[in-house]
Amino acid sequence: MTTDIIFEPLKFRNLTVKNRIFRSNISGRFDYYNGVGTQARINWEEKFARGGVGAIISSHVPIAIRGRILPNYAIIDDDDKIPFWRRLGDKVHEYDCKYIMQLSHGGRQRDIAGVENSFNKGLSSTNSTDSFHGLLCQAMTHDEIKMVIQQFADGARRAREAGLDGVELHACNGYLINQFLSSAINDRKDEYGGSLENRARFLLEIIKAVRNAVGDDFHFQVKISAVDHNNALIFWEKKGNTLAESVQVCKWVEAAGADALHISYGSTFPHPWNPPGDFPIAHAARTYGGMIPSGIYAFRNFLLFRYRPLRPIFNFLWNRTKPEQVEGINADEAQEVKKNVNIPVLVTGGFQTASYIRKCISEGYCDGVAIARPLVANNDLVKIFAAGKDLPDKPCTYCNKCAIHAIADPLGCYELSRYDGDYDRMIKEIMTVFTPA
Amino acid sequence: MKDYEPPTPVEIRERKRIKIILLIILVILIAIAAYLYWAFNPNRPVDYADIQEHFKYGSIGSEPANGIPYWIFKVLPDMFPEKLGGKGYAALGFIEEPGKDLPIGFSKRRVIVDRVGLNCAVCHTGTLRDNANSQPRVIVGMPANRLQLENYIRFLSACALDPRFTADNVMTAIAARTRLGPIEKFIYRSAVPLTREALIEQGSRLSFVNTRPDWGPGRVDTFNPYKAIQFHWPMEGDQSIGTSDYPSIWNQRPREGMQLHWDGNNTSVEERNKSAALGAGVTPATIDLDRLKRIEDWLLDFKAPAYPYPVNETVAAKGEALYKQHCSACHDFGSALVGTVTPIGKISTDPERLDSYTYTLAVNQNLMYAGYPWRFSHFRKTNGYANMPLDGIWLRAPYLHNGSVPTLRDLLEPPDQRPKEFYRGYNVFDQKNVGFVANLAADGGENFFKYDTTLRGNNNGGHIYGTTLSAEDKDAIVEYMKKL
Amino acid sequence: MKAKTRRTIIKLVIVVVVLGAVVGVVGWYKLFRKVPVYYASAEDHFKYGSVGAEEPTGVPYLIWLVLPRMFPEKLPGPGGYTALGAAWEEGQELPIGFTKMTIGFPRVAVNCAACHTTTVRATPKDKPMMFLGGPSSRFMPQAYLRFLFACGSDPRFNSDNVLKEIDRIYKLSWLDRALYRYVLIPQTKRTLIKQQTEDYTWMNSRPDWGPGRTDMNPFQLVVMKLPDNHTIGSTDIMAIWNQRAHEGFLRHSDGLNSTLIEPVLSAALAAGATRDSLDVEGLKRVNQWLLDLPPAKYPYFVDQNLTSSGNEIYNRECASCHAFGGARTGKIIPIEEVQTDRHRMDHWPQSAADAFNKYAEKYPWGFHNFRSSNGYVALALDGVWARAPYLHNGSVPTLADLLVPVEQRPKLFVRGYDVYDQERVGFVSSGADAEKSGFRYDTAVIGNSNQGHLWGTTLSPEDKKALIEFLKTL
Repeated sequence: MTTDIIFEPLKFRNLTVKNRIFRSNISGRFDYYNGVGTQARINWEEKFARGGVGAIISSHVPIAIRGRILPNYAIIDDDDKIPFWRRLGDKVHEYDCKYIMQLSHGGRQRDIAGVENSFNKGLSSTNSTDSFHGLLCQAMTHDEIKMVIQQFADGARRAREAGLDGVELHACNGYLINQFLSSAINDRKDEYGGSLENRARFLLEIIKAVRNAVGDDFHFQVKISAVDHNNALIFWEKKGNTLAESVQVCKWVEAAGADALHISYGSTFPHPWNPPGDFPIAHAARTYGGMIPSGIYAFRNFLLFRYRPLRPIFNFLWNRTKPEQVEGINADEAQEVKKNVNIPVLVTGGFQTASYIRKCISEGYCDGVAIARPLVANNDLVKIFAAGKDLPDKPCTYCNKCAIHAIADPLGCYELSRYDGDYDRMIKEIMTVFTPA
Repeated sequence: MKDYEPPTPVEIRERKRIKIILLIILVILIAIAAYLYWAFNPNRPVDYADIQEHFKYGSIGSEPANGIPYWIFKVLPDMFPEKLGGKGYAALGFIEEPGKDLPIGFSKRRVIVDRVGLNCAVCHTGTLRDNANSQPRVIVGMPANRLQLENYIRFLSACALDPRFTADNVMTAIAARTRLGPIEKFIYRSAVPLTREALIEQGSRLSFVNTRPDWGPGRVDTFNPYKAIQFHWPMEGDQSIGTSDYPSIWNQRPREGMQLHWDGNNTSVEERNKSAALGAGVTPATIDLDRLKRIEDWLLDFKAPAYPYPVNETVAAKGEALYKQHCSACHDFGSALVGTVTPIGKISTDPERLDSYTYTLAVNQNLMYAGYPWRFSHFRKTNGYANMPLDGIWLRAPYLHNGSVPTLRDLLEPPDQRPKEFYRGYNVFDQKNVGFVANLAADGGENFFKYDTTLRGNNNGGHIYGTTLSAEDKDAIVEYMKKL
Repeated sequence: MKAKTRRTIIKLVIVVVVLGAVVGVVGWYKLFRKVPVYYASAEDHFKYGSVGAEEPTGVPYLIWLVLPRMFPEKLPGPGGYTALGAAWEEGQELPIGFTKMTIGFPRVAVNCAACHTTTVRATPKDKPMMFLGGPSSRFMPQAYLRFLFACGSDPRFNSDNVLKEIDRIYKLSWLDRALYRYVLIPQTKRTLIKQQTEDYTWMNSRPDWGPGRTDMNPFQLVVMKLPDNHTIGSTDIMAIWNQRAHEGFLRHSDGLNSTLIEPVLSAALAAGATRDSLDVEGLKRVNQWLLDLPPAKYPYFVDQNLTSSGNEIYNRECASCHAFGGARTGKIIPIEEVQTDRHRMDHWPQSAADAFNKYAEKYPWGFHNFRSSNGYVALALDGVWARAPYLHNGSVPTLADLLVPVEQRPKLFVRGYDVYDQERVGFVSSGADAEKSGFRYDTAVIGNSNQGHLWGTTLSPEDKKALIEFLKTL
């Protein structure tokens, strides 16, 4: 048997990963409200380590309470969180799996900001309200920018102190850094807005600060949206950054000292292209209720989800630009990036077919793939590949029910067809995150 | 005091938004209301700057309660041409002026939809022709010498009772003339059965008139329909006949305080006008006093037109002396007896009109316009007929209250020599006898109304003043009277 | 938190109080505000002034206006309220005896003049002459009640229909419209049905009153609400003029009271006023005015050649009982002697008189002089020509008929026709015209007997003629 590129180690400047499959960022509300991690999160990550992925890129780990997407996410805003992350890292390492922490700040995109944030608005590049949920925000002052840069640096330092294997900057999907990068969102008139260079300034300053904090020998990658496509859902919005602009940013990122790039898509989350697949509107009707107080359009959305006669309106908007192909949706963009940089490029977007992954890597589209939903469906996807199967028996359907449920319910695969319609079995499977089998 | 329950930023913004949304909704609602008001203004009469136009076509408020939706009025002759002999409303003696949408005497007012009602001019505008070939001259203020109001009522009843009078048919007929908007269409569709009901009710209330001799052109029974329409009295036991000629209505100022109406039952010009307006279809609640006032004020000094044909001044001068001797005492402005009632026993003209107006009706009229300062209080039961001023008398033929004597010259003959039968409705002027040509049964394809003086209410007796003079003297008086 | 709650509560309380005050003031203004009407002339006050009946039993004016138009078939004939025999002066808003007063909204009720105004015509085409204080021979109080009751219980009497009719004659403001729709029309209907089914059910088991007559039962059954003693109180309406000359005489046909004022006040109660609503001052004014109201003068020809002999006969045959100063004038003639129909007398037992004397004890004007009797009062004959038909129950149409033996008096005749019969002295009581507009009076009906009072029946025809001619002049 010839060597399978999937199972060839991927060497970064400061880190070597045993294969080319990365668990991409996905998270449930497993932790204590105050951001202290719990055993459930360790159980969760262990599932994937056990399943054979080369590395796990954590979910959104807030560097500050104010930048949190949802409560009950483990955070890294203080040194007192380090022990938990060390325990988690230790557990993952047991499986020869690396753990890369995604440092994140939600900016204005806080789905449920939590009681700590009831009376503040999200920090952002702009004062303009997000047009999907109607989440409010305020443009950051220079002092606040400095403070957040420092929080990123501190977070990175703590990750290293916790014995983790690397950090990733969340600079895509409409979160804070993306809010600066995107020409559709950033309406600043100062040195952080306007030209692409100015818009990238915030990101590059963070990279510099993080690199200073963790030193040159610690793995450090940046996740970037190749294209904003900011008007995919709300058609009167601006388009945002193009691929060319993003490639330019990637080059600057490489120059600033990043070790790898992680390519995603879109300047909002969710986005019709990311995570690609369906919008399970009936499920949204059940979980979205908790978001009603968060935004000024949230109740409108809830009505659109909840009342069936109104659903076609939302479905129309959502499906308007949706691509046909799900798997490898960002592969072309990744290739474009890869052509222009010399550091390894990871890409995410529906990967779950071994042959396709193999083709992407071997033909130079990317160096590795980051997978989230197909791994939630089949934690042992890597082992399945290793066994020679091209596709699991019950593959991920890209229904996105996992993501929609994540707002309110334990994370897991909620695609009932994958459980042969056995609801109890599905719930039992989902609950294994609390009580491992 | 510190507010311990401040709203969150989202709540603050949402409250603002709700206010804005409510404001927008309010603005939209106001806009819709403004549009509806503009489109279906519950009270928007068509106005005319010119007073004569206003008199002929302006509204006095008869449309809201008793108007017919405009398009229904327009299509009735289309739908039932046979009921009008194919001649449209002109067949009923209505005057259609070129370039005018409605006949004289019909006003338009928007009450949700445009409605057509009657005004003063319908009964008080007539036509005159020099000879059979000349064009009619429209003369406002003179009696409507050709108007067949009774037949108009009959026409409307007949239409309403016709099984073809259905919403579908009416809508089809309207569609042939115009395109209605969807809201108007809806309103019209529901208006058809209501109009039908109202016309049937009106017809049934007035059905008693069919048991009396026909009014014919230029006549109306004023006070019997009043009993039925205003008071809803059962008419079975009431055999009275009130049919009488339309009067002229010019020159009202000197008439104030006179005993008005043929039997002199009211001395207030203003009250008489409001009573006549009821006859046109206003109600105390819908009467348009401002617009009526415009007409009333104008009529105060609006003079009768001068006699347009040659007058033999020599003969007239002789006639004037005779007139002063035989007629002035009762008929001249300023004379002692003008505008007072001559007892029936003395005047001896047909008593039916007098008897049709009863004490009972007079006192019930005290409740007309009840609740308003202009409530009626001047109606009185009298015992005779009032002596009328004779201004413009040449246009007021036929003569006597019941229009039983076709010309002035005939009136100066003793009753047994006055025409027993003659024809009404022709508008060619008889310059010799002063009156309208009354001996033609038909002309130009039109049949005239045969007036039979032997029928109840049509008697041509009484008022024998001047009947014993010589023929020459009578001619002279008539010659002079042309100038009145 | 608490402070805020308190503030909210205070605000709420203020809003509620202000709203309540506004509703209260508007409600008071629209429903209870009393606008007194004062007539400068006592005569106008008699004709149109209130006796206090508007508040308890008045009908809202606009409803009153439209009822004859909505339900013309429930009236005895065409002519609106004139069909009930009401005397109506030309130019006047209401018939004589109908009052209008605003208590929140204009209401219509009746007063003394409705029954106590005589109308007389020489020929059917004439307008009636009106004589205040005389008995109406045409007004039908019972028909008025029955008309109102019939309207009230008709299913067409509802807010939609009544308002539709009102809209034809008056433009109501939206507030008044709402009041009429939700309060006045339903309330009027309820009141009328209640009166019909509770207060006046006894009417169904009594003979019809007919025009110019009433029944005394309302005193006992409606005003005092005594148990029904099943008696018949049919009585002719009486003249009430010239009261100073009647001072000291017994009142009503059976002499149930000897004062002037008590019958006036009690009659107002029967007309619909209550003890509390009674306009005592106004009624005292009426009473004062009646003292010197002259009796109606005979308006037609009197043969002066006959009157002096008639006067002699009168002095001989009638004066002791009927002339002012006569020994028995104004006093009771025992039933055995007068022999007229006894039902009216039997109707008012001592128990009723006692109850009435107690009825208004607590009021300064309370009654003290009601009594029962054993006969009928010999009345003074001032204006007797206008007081036909005759006897206490109005059972004899003319004076000429009264002067013949009972068997020769008409058994069936017409009442309620006010064309005068100058020959027989009384109203025309037969013939087609009379029958068309009048009421058929049958002396065989209980309480309607024309028996008794045989004085003068044996006079010679010449004497009778002279006597009648003289009686015209009284």
